Amino acid sequence: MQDDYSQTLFDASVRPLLEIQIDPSLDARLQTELKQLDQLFRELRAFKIDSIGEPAILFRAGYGSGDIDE
Amino acid sequence: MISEHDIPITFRSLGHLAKAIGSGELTSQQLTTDYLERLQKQGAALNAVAQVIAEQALEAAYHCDQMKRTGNPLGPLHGIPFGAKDLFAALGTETHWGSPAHDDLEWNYDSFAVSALKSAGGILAAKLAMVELAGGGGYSDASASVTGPCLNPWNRARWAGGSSSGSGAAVAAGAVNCALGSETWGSITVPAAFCGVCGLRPTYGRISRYGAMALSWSMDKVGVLARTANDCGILLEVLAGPDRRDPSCVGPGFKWEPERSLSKDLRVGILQHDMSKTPEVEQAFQCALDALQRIGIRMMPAELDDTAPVAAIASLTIMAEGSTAHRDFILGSKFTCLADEDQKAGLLAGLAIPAADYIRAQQIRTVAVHRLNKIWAEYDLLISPTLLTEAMAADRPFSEHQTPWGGNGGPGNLAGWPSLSVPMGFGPTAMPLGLEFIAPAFGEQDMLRLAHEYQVVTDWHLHIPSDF
Repeated sequence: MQDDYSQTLFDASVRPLLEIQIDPSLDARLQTELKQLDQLFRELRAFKIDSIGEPAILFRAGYGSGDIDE
Repeated sequence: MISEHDIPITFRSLGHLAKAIGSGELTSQQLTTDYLERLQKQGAALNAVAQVIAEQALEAAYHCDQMKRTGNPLGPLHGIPFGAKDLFAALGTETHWGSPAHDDLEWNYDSFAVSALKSAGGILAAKLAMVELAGGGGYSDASASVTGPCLNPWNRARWAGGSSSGSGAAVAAGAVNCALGSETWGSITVPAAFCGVCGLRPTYGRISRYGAMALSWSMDKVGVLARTANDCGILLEVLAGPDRRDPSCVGPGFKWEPERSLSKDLRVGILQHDMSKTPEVEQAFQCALDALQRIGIRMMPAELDDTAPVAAIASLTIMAEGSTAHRDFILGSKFTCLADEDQKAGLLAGLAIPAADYIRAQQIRTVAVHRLNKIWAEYDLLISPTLLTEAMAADRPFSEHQTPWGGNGGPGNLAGWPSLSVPMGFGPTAMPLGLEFIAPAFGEQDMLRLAHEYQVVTDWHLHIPSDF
């Protein structure tokens, strides 16, 4: 994974949508956050799973069947 | 041992006050007036209050007393004042989610939880302070709130914990009898432990989140802060059950049975932590274990599976879901009004998480939760110090705090397990410590009963802070 994966994604997909101008001090904190995010990605990618065979559930089984009738 | 009769009335348990009102020894109007005075004085001095709802509360108290006189009690909370974290919608009140940027929310209806407590006779007396957006994005110090740093009733130089800060502080200060809170990762158990009260984080899906601000759809839980485990059981019975307005909430109702004895075969696992740097916590925890042993509880060491990256999954999930929930706000012009700079950076960063990485995190979560759940083949309940630290300074960045936090919030919240923190004594600087009971999903009954038995033989929950 490239070292600036999150920064690249942020600059391409989020920054153009912002109504606000990010000031330099916030930008510095943002870079720190994006580096930490890269670390999370690395940690998760290092955990090997069968990406096809392993089911993904967004609301966990047994708790959220979404029993809505309206 | 301290008795409940030895402490002022606003510090007594819900169970005790319900009996006093039921017997006519106390009226709701008297009780509500006492709590409102404390909200206005002690609550305000602690920055624990977002809004006092005096007029509505006194009207409701009058109604409760009328109903009592005509022999029509409303329910187990009849005439008892409670507070609600400022992320719950409540009719006739303002809701700000603790944020200086959210001064225009139109949430003028009762959330499920507020409505349930009112229907049971409870009187909403205050909206209580919280960390802005329940801490979404990650905050760096106690001042991340529109109401300023929420101070601890045991020492006003210390923080009350977060994000249900005001709920913890107001219950501890005797300014409300009990309070609604919410937890995504530590937001009930931390203020409960820091403030020396009980905090119940129910199973994910136990209580409807309708009308409560979302931070992380797959991890947010509504819960309560109260004076005793028995009170938490009474409140859970009122709050639990399915609600079609929250599709995650499919749990069965809950019937609190404090009198039923615990199984003699109950297996309690003691979670292992390195307490070499926190000997006072170790000593207090050992006293708690001794108390449990005296009542015949069988305990043995236990360790949670640590082969999956639980903290990374939880962090990425909360970041992605939180930034998605608040996306329009983050991209908009009022975003800069938030109080905490780190929080702003964290919320912005969360928008950069690709769907593929979020979904991969959920796949790994499935594996991780499966592995974590294996512990319930060997144990029925787990216990541990809630945290390894006392409350930290209210005016310093958390990064300067030297003592390790400890805690079990990552695994418990990721897996959706219920947890209860109860007072366990005091630490090296006379601040409260918490004892945490953890159960498998929907295992609140045994968890609350064991904590209740612990509180029958100890009196830490009856200690109260000196007044100010």
